[in-house]
Amino acid sequence: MPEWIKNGDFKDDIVLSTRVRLARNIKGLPFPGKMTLQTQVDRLTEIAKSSFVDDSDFEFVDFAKISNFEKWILQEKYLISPQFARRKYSGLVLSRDERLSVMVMEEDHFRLQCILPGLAVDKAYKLVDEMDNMLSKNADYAFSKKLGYIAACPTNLGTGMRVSVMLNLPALNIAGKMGPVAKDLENRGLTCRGAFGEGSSPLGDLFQISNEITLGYSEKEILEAVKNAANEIITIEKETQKTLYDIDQAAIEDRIFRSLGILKNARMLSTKEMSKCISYVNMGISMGLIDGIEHENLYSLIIDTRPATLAINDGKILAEKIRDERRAAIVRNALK
Amino acid sequence: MYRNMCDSCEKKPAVRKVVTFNKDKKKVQYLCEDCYYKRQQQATISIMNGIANKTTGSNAGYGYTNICSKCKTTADEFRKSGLLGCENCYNDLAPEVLAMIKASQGKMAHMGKNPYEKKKAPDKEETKPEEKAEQPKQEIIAEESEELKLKKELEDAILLEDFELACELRDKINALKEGDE
Repeated sequence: MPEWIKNGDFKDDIVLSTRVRLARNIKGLPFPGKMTLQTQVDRLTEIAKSSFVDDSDFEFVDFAKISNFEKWILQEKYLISPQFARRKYSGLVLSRDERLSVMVMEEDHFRLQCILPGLAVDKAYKLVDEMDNMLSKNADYAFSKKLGYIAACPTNLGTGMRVSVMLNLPALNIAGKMGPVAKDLENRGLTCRGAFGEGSSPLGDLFQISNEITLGYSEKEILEAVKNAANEIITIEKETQKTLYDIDQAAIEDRIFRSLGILKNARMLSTKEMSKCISYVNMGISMGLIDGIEHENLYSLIIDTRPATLAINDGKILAEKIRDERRAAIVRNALK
Repeated sequence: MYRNMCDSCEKKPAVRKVVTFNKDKKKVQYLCEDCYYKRQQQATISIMNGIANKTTGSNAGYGYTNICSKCKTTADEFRKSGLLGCENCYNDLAPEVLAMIKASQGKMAHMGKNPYEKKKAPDKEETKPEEKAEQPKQEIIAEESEELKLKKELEDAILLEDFELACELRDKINALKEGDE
């Protein structure tokens, strides 16, 4: 189980995680895409280290010293972006509980992130804001009164903040309501994506909602907008679950218990099949049909069975067939 | 044809009203959303170019060219990747950047956290936050001339999408330059 998911508060059982990310740049230095001097990279790394690593709660992961496989695992745990996983130098400041991190030299000089289990928008912002204050003591930020925090991409100007909430929405997906929900979000300056961010297709029934607009609104307004949207979606997902159950009890129960049967007994399991089954079993727990399985355990299976994390002891990616066998074994074991 | 169709493409319904002034002559156009957006972009670029062409001598660095004078990022590169190379790109590639901000962001004014406001009190820093933020520009031009003031106003006018005021300011700047010559 990834560190950050442990002891999570899943009272809104539909939300897997909340993430708040800030983009920050130092005045006078070119952005990472145009940075050519090692000394400049070193300067950024130094700033990050001196701001956090003296504190024993944080450690610095040097990207020159870890393998691609280890970077891949960090990516699967949602701690770094796929783009950052390909970096050969610079590094990552990471808190012991993995909930707080700073990517040095991603698209911007610093990307501060807080990831929390369940719906915790305000708490996540509070934590990442504290980190931002710590970093700003050592760093002279590029900032303009008009455009806010200057970012490499104008879509991140202003607050530089991206708030995203990952939700498991099986009922809305079955009822074919995800299209209208996405459309409604778009009208409010929010966006709905697949589980792994931009351009990714939905995995199981996991959707990520986040703010599209970063400039022209205060942090508070953006946080409220995402929080309200998440709460509304939770409500309609629950309503839809109830409606589906009322319309055809047998069909819904069949889906849920058939999925549980697959998870408990399968000898080979693809990511796609597993994600779909987890989604339905999760719904079964929410509806009070299944007892004795924690949301926390189900959600962490999604991360624990991804290609690199699955083979953490082998240190290399395994063949697909072996992965499917091993995935099935891990899932069976977790649901015993 | 319906009376409320777009004056430019004549295909879509007109939803925007545009008023332009050409030597005190008022011209009113009704445009559809697409044509309005295209016009906005063109207006931004033509105003910027109008000034760039007139800019000579010591102020050349301030001109709106399509390559960043500091990191050499070109407008084409930016259009392809969506990424800028440095802070100065926001000045040198202004038309392209503004078009993208308009297309992707809500309002053209920062409403959130300001790192320098908080810092000011405990550190007793004397430098004002605005001065700090505007530094790249001031490195290029030592003294603030009448022309520069107008240019700054022009920049604000474009940011606020007040193209009428922008046209007026452009004419003033050009008149000033002609006076110098």
